[in-house]
Amino acid sequence: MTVAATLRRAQRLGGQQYSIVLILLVVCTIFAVASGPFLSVTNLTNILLQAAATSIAAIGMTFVIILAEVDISVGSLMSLAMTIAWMVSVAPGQAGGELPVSVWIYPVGLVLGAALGMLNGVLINQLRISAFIATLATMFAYRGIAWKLVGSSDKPFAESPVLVLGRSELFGIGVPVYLMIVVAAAAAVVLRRMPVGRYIYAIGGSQRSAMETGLPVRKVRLVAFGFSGLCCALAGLITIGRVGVLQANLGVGFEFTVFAEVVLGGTSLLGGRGSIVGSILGAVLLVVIDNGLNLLNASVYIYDVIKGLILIIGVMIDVALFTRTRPVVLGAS
Amino acid sequence: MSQAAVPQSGAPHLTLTGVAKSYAGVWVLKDVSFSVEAGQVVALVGENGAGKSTLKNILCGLVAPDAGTLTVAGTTFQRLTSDDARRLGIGAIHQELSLFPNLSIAENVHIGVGTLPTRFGLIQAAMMREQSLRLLGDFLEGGFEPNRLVETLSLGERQLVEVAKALHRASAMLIFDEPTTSLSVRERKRMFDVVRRLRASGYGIIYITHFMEEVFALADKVVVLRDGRVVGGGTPTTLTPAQLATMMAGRELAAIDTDLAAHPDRSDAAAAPVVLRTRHLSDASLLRDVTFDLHAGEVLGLAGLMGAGRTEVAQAIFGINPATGDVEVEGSPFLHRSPESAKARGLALVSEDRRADQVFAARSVYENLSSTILRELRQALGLLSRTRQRQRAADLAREYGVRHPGLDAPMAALSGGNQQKCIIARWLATSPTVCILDEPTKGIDVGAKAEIHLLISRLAANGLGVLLISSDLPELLALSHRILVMHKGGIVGALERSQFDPGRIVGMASMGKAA
Repeated sequence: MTVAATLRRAQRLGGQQYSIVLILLVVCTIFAVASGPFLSVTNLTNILLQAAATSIAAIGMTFVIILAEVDISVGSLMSLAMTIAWMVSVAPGQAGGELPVSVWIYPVGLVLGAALGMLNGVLINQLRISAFIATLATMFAYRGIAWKLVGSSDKPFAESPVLVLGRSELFGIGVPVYLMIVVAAAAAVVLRRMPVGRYIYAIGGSQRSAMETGLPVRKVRLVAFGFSGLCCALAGLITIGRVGVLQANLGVGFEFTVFAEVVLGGTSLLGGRGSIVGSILGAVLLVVIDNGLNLLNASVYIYDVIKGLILIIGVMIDVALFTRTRPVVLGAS
Repeated sequence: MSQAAVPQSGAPHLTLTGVAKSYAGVWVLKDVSFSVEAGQVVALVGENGAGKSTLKNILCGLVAPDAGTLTVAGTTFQRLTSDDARRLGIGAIHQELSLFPNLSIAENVHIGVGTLPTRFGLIQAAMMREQSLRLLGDFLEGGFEPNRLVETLSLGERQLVEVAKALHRASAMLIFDEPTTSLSVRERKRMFDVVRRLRASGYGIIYITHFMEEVFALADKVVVLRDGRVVGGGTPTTLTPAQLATMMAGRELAAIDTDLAAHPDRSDAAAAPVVLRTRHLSDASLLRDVTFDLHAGEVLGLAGLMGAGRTEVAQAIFGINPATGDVEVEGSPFLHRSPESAKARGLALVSEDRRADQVFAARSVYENLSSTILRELRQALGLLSRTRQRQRAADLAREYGVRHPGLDAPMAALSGGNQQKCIIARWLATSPTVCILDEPTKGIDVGAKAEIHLLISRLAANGLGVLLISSDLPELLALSHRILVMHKGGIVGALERSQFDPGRIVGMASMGKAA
């Protein structure tokens, strides 16, 4: 129990959970012992590169989940934003084959991502429906529109600006990794140091108190969902750049990967607590598992089983540490 | 603290004139007039439901009055908006705290639009901490580290943070809504000091309470509300506790007497077997040493203020909340208490919060009525017969006088009184030996109330032991054969029917001893 006590103390001091650090260390140690190349610089930078896109989406989702809401449309949103941005920026008149895409794909994609995310927020605000229902609906709708627009075949790119983002390197490390760091740092500053960030924690912590205190609940919701959409678009740009293809199935099942990362990172689905660092470590952990198992030549079918187990273990550790903070019931007679 | 200047004492800072408010035709406030000066503590006292909270909400700009005017610092208003209240420097310390447990103390004090100190868009944590230290440390003598999370604080400490949060916004008037209900003795003393210090620095304070000792310890002036009207007042120096208790409790005693006549005397109840016996029930937070016997055919009243621990007694007996001490049902010990085993042992509980705790609002009347006896209604293979369910429900509805638009109507379509009758009916369908009723007539209309009174009296006549928890004193006096008075988790008095006296009960409930 001393380990638990230490963790609990660490957690009380820092106000966040550290089980993810523990799990990541254990998993990395196992892989390092089992497979030599795991700890090589090439492999480690490769892990970061692979984690970049999903971590950025997880950063956006962290905002939404701290707010005690959820966005399950992220995968479809990413697909629709990329599809429309591709249509706008693809060179006209050249059907079929590898098409050149102009630099416009970046601003159009990002703006669309933010707009589609905010639309989720608008639906929740105006129709007074739960985030789960609203984003479940847009998950289907966004995906359907994307397929309707470009059909269900993949769209390969010619050598084009899209690839720059995904494939360039700086000091031997992929540009997406730098992007991830920049977005994470900015998001952490917003959450920790800016009023809107504290509102997000506050509203997620107690909706009732937020109302009584007069916090701008609806505006903050738009900010969080819009930011989540923006992050998804950036993740989408990185992904299609790295793959070199706009896949018709881009982002299918993406929402579950992102949830897993955020939850592993210690962000409570009940809202009010969580951190950007945690979500990034969660994303890295999932990639590490893929990477390590791959190096060990494990059967591909076992990957998801291991991830599922790790998710349960992570949540169990958090629950064990967190049962101490039972909410105090006030005014009960 | 906000910038607006604290007004000079002497002149009335806030005056209410003829303020009235009704909900659905029922007056919760009528012709309420009084004033508060700067540097004065006005105690607003009254029983539960006297209209104190509505008054608070009107002053905070959360509720608009139907009639009357509010004059604040020389300006007269028909109603206040919450923006007005903020601008005029009126703040409230809510009984159910409006804090964010996952944020730090400093953040809780400052959070709000325009109240977080920022520079270049970034929150100035150091400044926030400093201001919180000043408010909480120097002013409230809290000795807190402002960077601690609120969830790590005790209730009393949280209450101080709530005060600091209000102070950060309000500059002239503070309304304390029963701030000590859930505090320990030490924490209450500290809250008293805080109120005195705020008074000394010029705040006008409305202090809502029903603890008489607090009135005499703090107030410069007392206003007594009963059934939405100001029924009396004065200064603590000219009033005695007994006078105050009578003012708070006094109702049309004649009405009680007629009820009484219909109620069979049970002077022989003591001779009847004990159906429920508790010994030294205590729990971690409130209850201490609750010991009593309930006889068959007896209505045992449990009087006390909100937060005195009456509901907790019921929950301890039922095993909803863990408690130490013994419970015996019909002479044999009731171990490993849980709601399920309580039901099996012949206990029934009609809890206070109908809507949240007991009604399946969206389900039909017949499903609600038969939900406790599904096991008994099972047929071959454990399948339920709708016909039998409906039949039994119809019988119950008839027997207990439930008026409903149809057995298939959703429960939500019934009036509060009929919902309550349904709940009582479905518990009684389990043929219990003991029935605990927690505020059985709260929030229901007069007619249904009378019917439920009759029902309770009939149940006792049929040999059921009834533990009746009620904040409605006339009801308690009319129905009970004996009354136990609770105060801060313990039983402080037991009265036989011949000793019943409303003033005495209110006195014991608010002071913990006889007035």
